[in-house]
Amino acid sequence: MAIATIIVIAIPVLIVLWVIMAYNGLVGWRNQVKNAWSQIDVQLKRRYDLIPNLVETVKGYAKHEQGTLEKVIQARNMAMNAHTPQEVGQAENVLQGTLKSLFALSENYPDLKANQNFLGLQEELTSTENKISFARQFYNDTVNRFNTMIQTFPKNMLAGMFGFQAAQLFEVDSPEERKAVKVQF
Amino acid sequence: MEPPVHLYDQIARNKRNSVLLMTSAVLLLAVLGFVFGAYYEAPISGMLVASGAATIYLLISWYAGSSLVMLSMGAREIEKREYPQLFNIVEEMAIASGLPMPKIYVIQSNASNAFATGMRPDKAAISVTTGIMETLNREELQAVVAHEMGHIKNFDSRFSVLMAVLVGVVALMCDAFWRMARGSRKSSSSSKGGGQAQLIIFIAAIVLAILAPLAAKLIQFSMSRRRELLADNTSAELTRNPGALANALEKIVKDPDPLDIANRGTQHLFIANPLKTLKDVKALQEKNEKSGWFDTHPPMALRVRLLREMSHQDGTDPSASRA
Repeated sequence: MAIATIIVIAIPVLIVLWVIMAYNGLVGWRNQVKNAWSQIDVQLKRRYDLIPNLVETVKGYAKHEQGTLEKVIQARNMAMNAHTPQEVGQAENVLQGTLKSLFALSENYPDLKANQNFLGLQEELTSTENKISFARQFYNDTVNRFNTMIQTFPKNMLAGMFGFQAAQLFEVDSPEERKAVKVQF
Repeated sequence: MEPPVHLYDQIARNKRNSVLLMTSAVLLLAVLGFVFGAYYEAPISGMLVASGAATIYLLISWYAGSSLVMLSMGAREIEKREYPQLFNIVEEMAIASGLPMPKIYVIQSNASNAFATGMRPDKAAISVTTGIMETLNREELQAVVAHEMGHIKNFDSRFSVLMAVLVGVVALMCDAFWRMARGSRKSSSSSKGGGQAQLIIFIAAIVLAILAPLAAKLIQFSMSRRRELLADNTSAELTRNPGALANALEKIVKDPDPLDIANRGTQHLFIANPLKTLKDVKALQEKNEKSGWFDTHPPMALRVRLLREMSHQDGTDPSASRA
């Protein structure tokens, strides 16, 4: 009798405890997904901040490349003002292209290539490109784990009950984009 | 960008093996305490003494360990403006792993090596020599830093401290047993003649006292090798560029400059064993994948081959690297 009573009481208690823990876990993971997404934004913003410095430095050495420099600034402003993920993706692609041509033209200016300031900015931009793509990679890994969690038994029941929705992967559509730009020459 | 499943498989298998090894080390300690205790007709107190000694030892190395290591290596903490590229690379790997930014230390040495310390990811540090920054290109240095980030992610410092404590306590107990056995030889003959059971315990205690320190050491070395392979895997997982780590390891092994500050006590920390490079170069050239029982690191040939296989299997284009 006593054992039966204990079991009857213990099972619901254990289930409630599990629900509480699993729910908290899911909330934690959802926040981690959000945080991983904001890391991407941090790095994108850092790149927008670096570009004017770079343009200023290049200007002093390569006065005849006004067109390329303007294109870079234009692409940066476009990317900054993009809103939908699709717009952002496109603008980022254009920006990466213009940056590539900017670093390519630096090849023609030995003085520029020897400039410490320019070299420093080049390293910063290379690293920021890397950080953007590593932040995306981490975001996608986090999303994958979160989605698997809320789509597999038994947590899928909980996810359905409390309205946890699968997070969107950061898709890269063009194979060119997959290779994070190499601003290394 | 999806990593191949086999990579995660390898990591999972490595973790399982480490847990297994750890358990056997703890068991060894318990058996040792039990048998030595039984020799003095107090098996339970023997076990208690063993676990008590292990706990005290553990607490000391837990709180003082990594700062002592840094001090003994002559590593100096750096700021971003001193080594911007190194700083950036570490930041990249912190982002890729989702871990807090570790502290960065630099060792003035022509030798090419690196190591990670810290009991917790938020108190971790990565140290590299000035030599490794000159020997490797950006991509390879990134892979090495990712390997160290792997040690942090997998709590390897904690693991190796635990192992060192176990080995130390086992040695301590065997030592104590020998001393006490010598001192009490006379009195044991006068005690009640227990017959066969006592003889068995006597023999078991003697055999254990000889073999246990050796066994503990072997477990420690085997564990150290496993954790290195695991960190190689994590590096590949973070950079998605296992080929770069393979290149880096080859360059590190072939670099002739010795690392003076390394010794037997710290050799297991480094990405490549700093003590035996000549032999390692030969083993790599002969593609010798056999590991010695007392090696702290897996054979380079094995590490390089596993990494190269990964880079072929996952189909990542080498030009897609981010470095």
